[in-house]
Order: sequence, then structure tokens, then C-alpha cells
Amino acid sequence: MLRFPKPLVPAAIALAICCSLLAPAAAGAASRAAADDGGPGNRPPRVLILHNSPEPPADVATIDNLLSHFPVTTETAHSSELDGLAEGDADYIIHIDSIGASDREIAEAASVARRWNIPYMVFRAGAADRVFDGILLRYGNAEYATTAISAAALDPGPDGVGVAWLSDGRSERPLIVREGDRWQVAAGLANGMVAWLAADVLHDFLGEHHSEGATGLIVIENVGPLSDPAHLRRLADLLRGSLIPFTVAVQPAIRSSVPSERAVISDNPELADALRYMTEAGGTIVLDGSRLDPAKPDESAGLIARDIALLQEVGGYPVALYASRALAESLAYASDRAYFSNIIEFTDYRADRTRYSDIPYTRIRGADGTAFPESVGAASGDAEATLLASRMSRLGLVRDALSVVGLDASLPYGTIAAQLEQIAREAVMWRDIRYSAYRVETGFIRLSGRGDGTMDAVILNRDRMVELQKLEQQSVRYESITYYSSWTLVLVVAVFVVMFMLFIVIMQMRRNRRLFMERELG
Amino acid sequence: MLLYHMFLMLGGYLYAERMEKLKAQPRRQRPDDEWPTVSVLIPAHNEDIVIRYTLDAMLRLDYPRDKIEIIVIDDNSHDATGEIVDEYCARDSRVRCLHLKPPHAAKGKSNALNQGLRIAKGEFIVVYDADNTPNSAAVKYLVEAALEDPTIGAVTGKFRVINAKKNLLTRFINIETISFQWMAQAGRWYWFGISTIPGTNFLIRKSLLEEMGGWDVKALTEDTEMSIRLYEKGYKIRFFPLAITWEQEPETWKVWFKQRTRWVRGNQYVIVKNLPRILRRKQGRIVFDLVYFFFTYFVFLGGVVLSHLMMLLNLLGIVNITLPGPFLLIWLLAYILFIVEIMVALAIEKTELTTRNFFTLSLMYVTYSQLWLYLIFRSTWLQLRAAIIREEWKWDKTQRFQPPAAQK
Repeated sequence: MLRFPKPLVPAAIALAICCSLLAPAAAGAASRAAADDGGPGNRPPRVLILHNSPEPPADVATIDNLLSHFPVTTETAHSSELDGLAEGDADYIIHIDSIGASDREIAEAASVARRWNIPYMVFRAGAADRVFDGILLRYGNAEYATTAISAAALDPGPDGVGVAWLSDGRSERPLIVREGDRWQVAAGLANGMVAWLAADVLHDFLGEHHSEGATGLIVIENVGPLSDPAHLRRLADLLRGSLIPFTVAVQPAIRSSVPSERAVISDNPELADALRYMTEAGGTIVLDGSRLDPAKPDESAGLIARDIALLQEVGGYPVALYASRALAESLAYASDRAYFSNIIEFTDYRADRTRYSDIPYTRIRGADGTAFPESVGAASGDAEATLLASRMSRLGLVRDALSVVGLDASLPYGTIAAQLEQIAREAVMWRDIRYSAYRVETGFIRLSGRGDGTMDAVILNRDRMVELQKLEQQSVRYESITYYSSWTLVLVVAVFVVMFMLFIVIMQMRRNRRLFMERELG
Repeated sequence: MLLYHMFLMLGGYLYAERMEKLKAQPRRQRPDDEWPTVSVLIPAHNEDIVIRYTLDAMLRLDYPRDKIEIIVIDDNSHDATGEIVDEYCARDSRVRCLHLKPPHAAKGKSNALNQGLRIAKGEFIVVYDADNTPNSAAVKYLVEAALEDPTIGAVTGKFRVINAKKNLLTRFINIETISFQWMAQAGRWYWFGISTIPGTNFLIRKSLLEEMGGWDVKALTEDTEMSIRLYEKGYKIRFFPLAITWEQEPETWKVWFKQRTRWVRGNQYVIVKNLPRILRRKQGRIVFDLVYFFFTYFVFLGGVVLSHLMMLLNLLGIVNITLPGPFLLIWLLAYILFIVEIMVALAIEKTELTTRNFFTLSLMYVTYSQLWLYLIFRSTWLQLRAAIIREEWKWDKTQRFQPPAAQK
């Protein structure tokens, strides 16, 4: 018989008790460690975007962009592919019904979500004869006037709760209904304010409760070599007086096919001084790339590098790029990469000649970048200033809305002052993007800010920088020669062509006359 | 090049105007005994299809009988050329026959001409290809043009295409020859007092030929080579378009390629052989002309290839030209200029400015003209290969076609 020494028995019992107590904790720690190592437990939630059109409709892109505000991944699939998916393939389903699918089809998709025990949201197009046109939106505790929203009829179900309501002035219908984890939106995202409304609702749908509070960002647009330095100084004073930080989207060179119209910022020392003055007044320089072509990433990257070099020449450092989303994405494919972690997303004009984004808040760009969509847009005159203010007011329905407002520096001072007066009435906290972490890199320079307002500027290749600065000046000279010589050639050739045509006519007339004489006089 | 050709065409037009005035003036009737003696050399190698028509035309030449001899050099023909020539020799005292047999035969046109030169008695030598049917006044015009100025070493006449209406290729060639003569020949003569001897319908002083040692037997384009040597001696080569001959042009693409390859190779030989030497001697006009040839066969070719490549890459979206300027307009104007320039040349020829020729010309730019690129590349390659492996050049005789009986 095996005997233990007496003193060891109580120690062994104590060890066994300790082990039994520590085992679950250790197991938990182990599983957490596995998750931290990138195991399946730590992946970002996956949102499955379903659609029922032959090609993904525009709403799919909109919802995808709205979702880029959240730490989720997205995947798009046709609704017919749903049967091929298994439980665990998605953590959320958002269904875009753009063709007015039957209730049964919607119910089938919803039942899959119920079976997988995941939240489900559907945006319904609705049959044309059952559409309700509303112009007043009730959401939360506020009412918002909106452009007409065509809403489908919803079946709220026995436990359905109205989240947003739409009114045509006489009657009211639910626009968004929630029944547990099942959400129904009665209109597509392109309808009036539906995209903004969806942006807010997505917080509840995804369970991502961002801190509430509206912020704003002012962008002074159209600042370039031909801008009036005195005008820019007055604008800076105006904004400083209103205690509003701002960004200045600078286009350091105007490139035109007509060399005489070309100009670079360093040609105008007063303008360079004005830019520095704006920076001291609370302005942050961003590089204006709104005119660059996304279809030509290499060319755009080259021009950006030259622009940064030109800005650097006058002591300016851009902390972000002011450009379309398409350009920002295409730059990643340029062989000489131009990298901006932060983008102020320039928005193109809509069909009604207004310019604002469907995305009312910041977007996450990769690991370390932020996109600031131009959510309110810019006004080109006094009349549109009111429109900007009302749009900004409506943005209040999004809990963490970002109002990006463009002020066109080419407008008269009075117009800009009036616009600013209107938008400054809104209760937003104006952002200074130098306090957002950023990184800019184009091969010869690296700029970075940790978000504390300081900047690290590292010139990686000074020769390249000087070369780029000269390149712009040289290209003006060489292109002038090419331009004028080619037009001279056109002129000379055209003169010769006309002269030769004249010769032909003369010779033919002479021949005809001779033939006539021969015929008549033998 | 664009500007230069415009300038040449302007010269061509002005020269045509001058010729019109000259034609309208009453000609001085020179007595028969005042005409110098002329030897017409006709090298012939297997030319039985065409030689009869050629000799008939020669016998119709309006020139004093006792002042002209027509020497047919039968260069070892294996067909009936020899018999036909003998028949004409027996029939007319003006015709003389020279039958070449190996080892002196079949060494190319230059060799045949040199053999003919050996027995020629005329003060002036006139050369015609075996497929030519000159107008009756052609030789008189050539001689008159030479007699006007002792510094004129050679006179070149105009050649026209006898089978122009045969098919699309001959239509192309017809337009090409007309424009070449009025642009390059007449234009250069008008502005710079130079032109290039073509292979046929030209006159040269016998004394000069003897002084220069005859034709260069190594040259594939003996005419261009001879032109350079005449320039070097300080003589002018006059283009005189009133002296007209009609010649047969290739009717098939295969024959055309063969003939043109020989021309290009020959001209490349002349450029490479003469340019370095002439550049050293600083003879302005010749240098200018040779540099022009050099540009045509080498530099301009590179430019055209680059331009085509850029256009293709641009269409495929691979390359984008960001240089400012009206480049599309230039291209369009260049095309219009091409059409209009050649139309001026066609209008000078009076009967050639037709709707059909206009459409042929419009097509020519994108078809026939582009084949020159291939030709030059091919010829350059053959030339290089010949230099590397020390290949001996062979004279490629241009194949003849049955002349239409009713023509001319």
C-alpha cells in the first residue's frame, strides 16, 4: 500500500482545491489570449448586404459607405444566394429591396435571420399603388421637413414599434418599424433624408452607441494662385472672430491647357503670406485635389507630389486631402503612391445642382485614417446659404453627425459672412482636424500628427522635393513652347491648306475655260 | 517634314505655272543640223512582253534621223527579246543592238548601261527603261532643256503610269508618281535647282558620264547614285516635265514589294555611302538634299512609328498625353494637307483630278502610305543582314505585265 508522508496530505488537498478554483479562470484567460491573437472570437462583426436586383443598386453602395462608420466588415450578395450561406456567415443582415419584392420573399429572408438569431433590417421599395408620399419626418422627439419621401406600406406585426414616422400633412404612416431584432424601413436610401435617418438607426441596429453630439468642419474652398490675398486675410479674421477653426483647401498650381492661364502659388509672395496668416488664425491647410482625375491615379499622384512640394516652398504643409472618394481610393493603385490617412471627401453635384453627401458622419479609412464626407456641401450664393443652414439643422437627427460645410473663397466677402452667420447658429462643436491623428506620405516627404496639434515633418528626399518644385515651373515653360508652336503650326498648315485649295480651284477654272474655248471655237 | 513638303508643293505649283507659260510660247524651230547627236540607251533583260511597244514608240520620236541612235542592250535575255530587237535593227537603221553574254551580262542595269555607253556615239545619252513609251517630243524637250544652260549636267523628264486604271494598286502608284514628281522633283528644282535622276526618261551629257566612269555597278538605284555624283561635280539636274514618257508599274503587290525594297535599299546605300563624305565637303544644296533623304528613311520613319505607337497606346488608354496643344487638330490638318497637296499635283495633270482619285487618295493615307513603314524596316533589315554576312547584291528585275493594246 502506498503511503504518503503525513504533512503532504493537507497540502495536496489544498492544491487540488486551488486548482479546481483556478481552472475556469485559466480557461477563460486562455480563450481571451486566443482571441487577442486574432482567433475567431475577436473578428469584427460581419454585415451581409442582400439585394434583389440583377446588379447591386446604388443603395448597396450607400449602405456600405454608411457602415464604414462602424467597426464592421461587409459583404454583398444577391438574395438568391442566401440559401447557400450557413449560420455564422453573417452577424447582421441588411436587405435592400429595390424592385418591390413580395412580402413572402422578405419574410423568407427575415426568417433566415431569425433562425440564425441575428438582427435583420430591410429597406423596402413598395408597390407603386401602395406608395405614400411624405414631406414631414418625425424621429425621436423632433420633426424635420424633408423633400418628398415615397414610402411603402409596412406591416408592423403584433409587437412592432414605430421608430420614425412620415406625414403628408394629413395622415401619418410609419417609416421605420422595429419588431425585436427585425427592422423595416419603408423607403430606399436615395429618398430624401432616408440615408441620414438610416445612418442614425444603424447605431441601434448594430449596437454601436457612439457618443452623441454634433460636430462641424468648415472648409474654405477654391483657394489657389489667383486668389486675392487681402480677401483671404479678411476671411481668416472673420472665422477667428467667430472662434471657428477651419481648414483651407489649397490648390497650389492652376494647370490649364492654355499656358498663359497657368500659375503657381509661389509666384505670389503676398498670397503665401496670406496663407500663413490663415494658419495663424486657426486654419489648417489641406491639399485641394478636387480637380484631379480618379481614372489617372499615376498622373494624380505625380501632381499631388508636385503640389505638396509647391506648398512646402511657401511654408505650408497639408494634413489631409480634399478630394473625391474615388480619387482617394485610386491613389492606392498609383505606382508612385500618394498617401493621405485623412480625406475630406469632396462631393459631386447631384441632379438638382445641390452638393452634399449621403454620409452624415466620419468614415473609418483603414487602420489609421478618417474620411470627412462633405455632408452639408457648399453654397455658390446667398440663396443657397439658407439651404445649407436647414440641411445642417436636419443633420441633427444623426446622433454623432459631422457637418462639413464648404465656404467658397471666390464668393464676395459679404456672401461668405452671411453664410457663416447662418451656420454658426447651429449648436455644433467645430472641429480642428489638426487634432485628429494624420499621416501624409508621398515619397519625398512624410508628415504626421499624433492628434495633439503638433506636426512631424520629415523630408525624406530633399533633391526630389526641389526637383518637383522646379518641375512645375519648367513644365509651364516647356508647355508654353509646345502650346504656342503647335498653334503656330496649325496656323501655317491651315494657311497652306487654304492656299492649295485656291490653287486647285484656279487650275480647274482655267481648265474648264480652256475646254469651253476648245469646244466652242474648235 | 510637314512644313518642308508644303513648301515643296508650293514650288511644284509655281513651276507648273511657269511650264504652262513656256508651253504657250511659240517654240523656236531649230534646224535639223543644229540638233546635237543623241544615243538612247534601253537596257532590256527578258522584256519580250513590252519591248515591241517600246521600240515602236522610239521610232516615232520626233528627232532628226541622222542625229539619233537607239541602242537596245539585250542583257542575256532568255526569252524572245533578242529576236525582237534584231528584227527592229534590221528594219530601221536608227536601232542598234548590243547582245550581252556572260561574263559581261546579267549584272544589273548599271552594267548594261555601261556596256551601252561604250558603243554610244551621241553627244547626249538618253536612258529609257524597256517598258517605256515616250511621247514623240520627249527627247527634243530633254535636249532643248540641256542646251539652255551648260551647267545642266542632266535633264529628267516626267513619267506617267500607262496602266494606272488597271487596279487599286496601280491607281495608288499613279497618284504617288504624280505627287512625287510635282512635289519632290518640281518643288526642289524650283526652290533649290536640284532634282533626282529617275531610272528612266532622262538625259545626261556623255562627256560627264565618261569623266565619272559610267554608272556604279554596285548601286541598286544607279539613278540616285549618279545624281549625287553630278551634284558633287557642281552640275545641275533639271526637271523638265514637258518631256513625258509612259511606263508600266507593278500590278501585283508581290512585284511592288520587290521593286520598292530594291529602291529603298538602293537609296539607303547611297545615303550611307555619301552622307559622311559630303557633310565634310560642305556642299550646301546636296547636304540639304541628302539630309532630307536621311530624314525620310531614318529620322522621320522613327517619328512616324513613335507617333503611331503613341496613338495606339492612347486609344488603349495606356498612355495619356498631357502636353497642351491642339494635337488632334494638327493630326486632322496633316491629313487634310496630305489630301490637298496631292490634289494640287493631280490638278496640275489636268485629267487626274477626278472623284475616283479623290477617294483613292483618301484611302491611300491609311493603307498604301503606311506600307512604306514596313518596306523601310524590311529593307533596313535586309541591308544590315547583307552587311553582316557579306551577301552580294542581286539585281531584282521588275516583272512586266502584258500592256493593254489600246493604251496610249
